[in-house]
Amino acid sequence: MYVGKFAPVQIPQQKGIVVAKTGYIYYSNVTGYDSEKKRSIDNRVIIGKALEENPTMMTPNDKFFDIFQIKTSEAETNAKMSEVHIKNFRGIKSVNVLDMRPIVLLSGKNNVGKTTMLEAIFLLMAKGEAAFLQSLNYFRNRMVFNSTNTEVWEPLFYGRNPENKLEIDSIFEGKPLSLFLEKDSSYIPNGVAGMPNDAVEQMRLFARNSYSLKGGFSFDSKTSLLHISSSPSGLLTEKEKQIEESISFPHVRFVNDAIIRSDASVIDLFSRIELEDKKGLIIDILKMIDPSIVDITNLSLNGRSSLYIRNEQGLLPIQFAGDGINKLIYIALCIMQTKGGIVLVDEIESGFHYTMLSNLWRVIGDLSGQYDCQVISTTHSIENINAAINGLRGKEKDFCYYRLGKTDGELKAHRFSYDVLKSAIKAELEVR
Amino acid sequence: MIREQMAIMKKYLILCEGVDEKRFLIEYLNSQALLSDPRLSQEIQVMDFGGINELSNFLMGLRGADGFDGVSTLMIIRDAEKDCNAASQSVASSLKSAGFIAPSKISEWIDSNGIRIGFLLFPSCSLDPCNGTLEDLCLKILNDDHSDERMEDIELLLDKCSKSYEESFSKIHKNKLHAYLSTKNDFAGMKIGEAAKAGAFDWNSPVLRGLKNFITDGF
Repeated sequence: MYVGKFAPVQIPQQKGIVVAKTGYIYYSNVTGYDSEKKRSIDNRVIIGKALEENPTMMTPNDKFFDIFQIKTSEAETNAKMSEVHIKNFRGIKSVNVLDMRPIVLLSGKNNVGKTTMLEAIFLLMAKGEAAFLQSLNYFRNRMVFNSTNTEVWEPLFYGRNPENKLEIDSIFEGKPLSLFLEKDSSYIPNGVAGMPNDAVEQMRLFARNSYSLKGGFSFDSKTSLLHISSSPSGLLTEKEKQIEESISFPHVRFVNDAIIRSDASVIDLFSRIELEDKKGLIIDILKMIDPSIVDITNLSLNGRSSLYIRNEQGLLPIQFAGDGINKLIYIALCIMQTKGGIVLVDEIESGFHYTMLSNLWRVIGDLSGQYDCQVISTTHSIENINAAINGLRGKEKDFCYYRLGKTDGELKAHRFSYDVLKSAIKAELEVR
Repeated sequence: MIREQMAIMKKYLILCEGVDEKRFLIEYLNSQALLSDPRLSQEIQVMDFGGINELSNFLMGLRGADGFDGVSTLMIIRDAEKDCNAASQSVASSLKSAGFIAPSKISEWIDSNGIRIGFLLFPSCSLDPCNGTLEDLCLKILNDDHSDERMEDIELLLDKCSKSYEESFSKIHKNKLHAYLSTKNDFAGMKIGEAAKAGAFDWNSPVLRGLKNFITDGF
């Protein structure tokens, strides 16, 4: 996989562009006429290389920007994560997603790997730590109480086989960001400070009889090696701390309906927004769905805090306000509290009436830009895809869509720019 | 308004410009005239790519659409309009911008990464393109023993109208065809696709031979 310095761009459709069989792209510029040799003086330079996955796209080099007078910052995508390559993660043997934008929508048939792709990005952004392996089970509504490796991490590996090295590589803020995890039969955990001796012994015994995982997380040129061990009493991550501490990283949040219903952190998220004096923004967002809402507030009764909305009928616990309101607030708060990071939303359309979906995308479009937060979501709904097209007018370059589909067992992410998606939907092509 | 999405069902796709061309082609492929080769009615899917300016984006969308991996033949038909050379270049340019290899000329099949690609222009449907549109082709294949006489009358009428009301007809082919259809009880008020279905055109016409041969060569 060729990962260039710059994010991929469309191959220019103009005179002088030549795509060689090798994939290199030349720009041939006639600069004069040689009267002696009776031929044009041709200034031919390599400007980049075509992408194997998408022959309409190319990875440009510095010359490209010199010749076409495009400022690098304009040509580079401003998405936090511009590409991701996943290998041996859950049901995905291999997939490459290129030229991502700040707002990404993924679609595809059931069980093709949409949610899995979100989980892979979550695990990568969470640095592969053991606690987040448990989170992945939680996202799937699968509670694992006795943390044996077969239950916690084997489902993460392709074919449930940890011999298949799990690799997630990406470009984040223009720099390489990677995670790998694989089986390590020889590693015996040492434990960490403060861990009771009997727990350490139990974990060591468990590792001898079973196996641990070794892994590596790297960002830019820094790498942190880690080991994850399990026992019925819990999971343990041992890291090279000095390296780890030097890798600071923005947040990632995973949103699905189960989390929204059960996560009490929405009150904390809202409280932080109120402290930042941005409650008015949340009220404006809620008015898009229900114009009668005039306020949202956090009330504590009998020692329990709850969010209430106020409309013409008075105060109403937010849980009674409908799935759409709850979900919209949760998504908006997540974006506002994940500045510089990534919010992953599974089945984003669920809970919303279709007439509200364009408003949802307007909110996402505005907040994503304001808070420099990439939003990657999945959908099955053609109405939602159409709503994204309508709701993101004016932010066309910030959006792209992928249809995940399998060809001969190989997963491919077919990319659609805003304009191409719009044309495809207008032509009634099946792009889900 | 969102309508049902169009899945790719066949290996052989004909992409055409507009609903009328699509209906015309579907009627032709299903006609008695082509019964001898059942592949033409059973193994081809006709799709409308919209306006000519949308062809490039349509092709890019098509590449990523569900079922495209199984496509083996892609044929594009559009109107030559006022400049058949420009129309030809426009199709080639759209193909290239969508990452396909484009045939160097009309009525030529070329392999583009395992997909046979070719294009034709209405009205000639042959190696020797001429300017014009589907309506011009329709006027040549009218299923009517008295079409010549009727057309003479219609031309006289249009000429008289043009002079009387000082109006030059910028789309004279459309004026002629729809004036003709309006003079027939069976076709009055119909669009091309509807008229095709109602039997307005002679699918056995030798004028369509080039179209049939080119489509057949695409298998």
